[in-house]
Amino acid sequence: MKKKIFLDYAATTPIRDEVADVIVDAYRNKSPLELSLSEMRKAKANIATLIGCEHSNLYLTACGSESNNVLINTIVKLLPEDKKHIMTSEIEHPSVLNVFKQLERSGFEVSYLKVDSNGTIRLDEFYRRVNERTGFVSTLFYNNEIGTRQPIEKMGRYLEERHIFFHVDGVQAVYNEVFNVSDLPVDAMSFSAHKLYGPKGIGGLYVKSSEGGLRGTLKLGFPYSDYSSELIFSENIPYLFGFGKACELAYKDREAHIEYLDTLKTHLIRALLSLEGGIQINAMNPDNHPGIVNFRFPKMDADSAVINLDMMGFAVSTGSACSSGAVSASHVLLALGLKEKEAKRCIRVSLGHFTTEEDIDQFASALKALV
Amino acid sequence: MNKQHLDKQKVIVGMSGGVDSTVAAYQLKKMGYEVIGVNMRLWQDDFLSEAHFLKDGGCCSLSSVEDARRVCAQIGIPFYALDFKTVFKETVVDYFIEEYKHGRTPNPCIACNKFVKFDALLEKAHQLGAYYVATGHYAKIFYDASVERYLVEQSNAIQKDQTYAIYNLTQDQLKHILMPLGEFESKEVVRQIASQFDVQISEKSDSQEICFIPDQDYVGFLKRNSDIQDKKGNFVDLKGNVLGTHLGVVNFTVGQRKGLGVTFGKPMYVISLDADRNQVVLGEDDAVFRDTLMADTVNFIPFDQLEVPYVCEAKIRYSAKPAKCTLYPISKDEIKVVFDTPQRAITPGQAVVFYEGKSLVGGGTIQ
Repeated sequence: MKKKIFLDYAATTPIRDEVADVIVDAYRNKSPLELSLSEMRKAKANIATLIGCEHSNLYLTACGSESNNVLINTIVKLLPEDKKHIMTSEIEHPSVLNVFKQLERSGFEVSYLKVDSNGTIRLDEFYRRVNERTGFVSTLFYNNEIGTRQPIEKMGRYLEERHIFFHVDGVQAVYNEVFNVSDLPVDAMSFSAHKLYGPKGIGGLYVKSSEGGLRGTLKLGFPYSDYSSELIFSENIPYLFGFGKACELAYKDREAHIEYLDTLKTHLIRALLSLEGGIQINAMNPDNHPGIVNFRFPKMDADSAVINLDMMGFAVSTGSACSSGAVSASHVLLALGLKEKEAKRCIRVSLGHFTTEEDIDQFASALKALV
Repeated sequence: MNKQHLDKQKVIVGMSGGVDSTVAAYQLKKMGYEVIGVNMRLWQDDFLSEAHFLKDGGCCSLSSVEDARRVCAQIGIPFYALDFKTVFKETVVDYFIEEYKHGRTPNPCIACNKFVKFDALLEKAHQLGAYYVATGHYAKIFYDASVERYLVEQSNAIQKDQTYAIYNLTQDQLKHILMPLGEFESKEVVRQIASQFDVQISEKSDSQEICFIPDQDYVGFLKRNSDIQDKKGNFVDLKGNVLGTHLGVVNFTVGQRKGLGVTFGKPMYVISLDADRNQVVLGEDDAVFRDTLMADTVNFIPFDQLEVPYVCEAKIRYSAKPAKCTLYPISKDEIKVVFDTPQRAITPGQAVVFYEGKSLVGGGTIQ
């Protein structure tokens, strides 16, 4: 059977060989006592270097979704009574959106920011809706379905002046944009190892140092809290090593990686636009994620398209959360203003380290049968 | 999708993970078709826990996805789960609720076949380039060149025959449907073939039940999913005299004797339901029998429309024995059915289905 071409890197990335080696080595060759504190510190430092912060501002979790859940639920509990207005956008990942919905039911005042037809938060609306009761704002750095980058600098600076806690979900951003999180006007950022060629099952959370005991509070609930104080043998240290290795490798080649993705994406978009039959690309912005393209078929339903492509040897996704195979219209695409029928004809293609131009050519030629 | 480009060797099989659909897929693969297994996600009742669905099986349960996936892997065919929740809700569940609201007894399987399995799924099949949809129904579909139509016959395993539930399929639907189990002489043979696969032969619920109500408490289902609630009304006799009080029309079906909640000193039966006046009409056994019914939304298999009276046999429910009758055309999609002998508990909302020997003639909805 022909080898499958994987075009779903935004869902998860394959693990790099060097990373797998580090993990296997840690499991196989070392007794817990040999997994030294200094190696753990080094792994954590590698993660900190990639995202651009001090390692003391880093917390380890099980995944990006857990980072989002823990951060939001922890911070909102610390908000004073007169700051219970919280805000997010309509196009968040379910691990943020569902937490906000739950908080809304438990009495918080919640605003869901609308986006324009390209998926960008409308800043005028954002400025208007921030008020003296606002205590917390969370948004995606890059949207996972359509790749839109949010204006987090402008939002962050506005919130900073008003001492409002600002969290970004950076799961798709790390390794796909060069930045130092500590230079950004954000108070916290979630990210995940398996989106940057590391192991599944470990994620990270950056929280800016600040007065008020925030770190202390976070520390209480965390399984991987702080390695500087003591070594806890039952923690998933091999995965920490793997995460560290993935970040070390990513830090080394990130400029080239981003440039490579850019080239591939341009190639893909050209190929899509040259197809006869009228494929429509959703949310085309110059500062989009370098590896995510979401587009709409003229007639075919997305689930049929995904199956057809799967049978032709391509792994893509509809981009929306699926549970047990159920495909409903994506809340992100509906927020762009697409009709339900249109939203159900969209798929996400996401490119990565192991994608080649030839893969894209083959993909484009397979699409000819579907438009 | 252009239908001319569909592959006649390619077939989508609706897979529940049970015996029948498993064997259908396996047979088609053996016959040389390119088979793709699909599990249809139809319904999710938040009230009934997944544990309940797991225990009782049924075609809608999440466990059926995993069962179907495993079986497809064993047969060696690709497997996909597809979402049909919206169309199922609109064409089956909403219809089911509406019928009960009007004091009628719906047949959701027939609606599901017509609008979901052989319409929405067929459309998906076409999008996947497949000419055919196949299921594990026990029925025979074939093309008769002499009349230039697709015809349907009862399955060889007569006690399993499911032609009752597909009487309303159109020629355009039948053209694209394969039902390979129709040729099998008995369910036993099918079970035997299935035994080589990892299917739970005995534990799966029988598909005759309503799949989206695995606990079979349809009254509870209606109360949870519609504005139907208990509303006290009167039991009346055929002349309209009040005999007692009932808790709501929805709790009763025509022909019912047990569970009326009142005793009358002689056996009394539900003769009819009057949802508008919230009345349940009771009578003695002989009143439950009638020899005439009106049917609408009729469909015929060997011809498009009934022009002249037609002598054949009819079943007024899935489990009924075919009884001799004559069909009289009334209008384009309405007919009168007169039986040679009175039939027990003719139930509005159920299907009346016509046969000539083993051939399916058509059917309609009892008014």
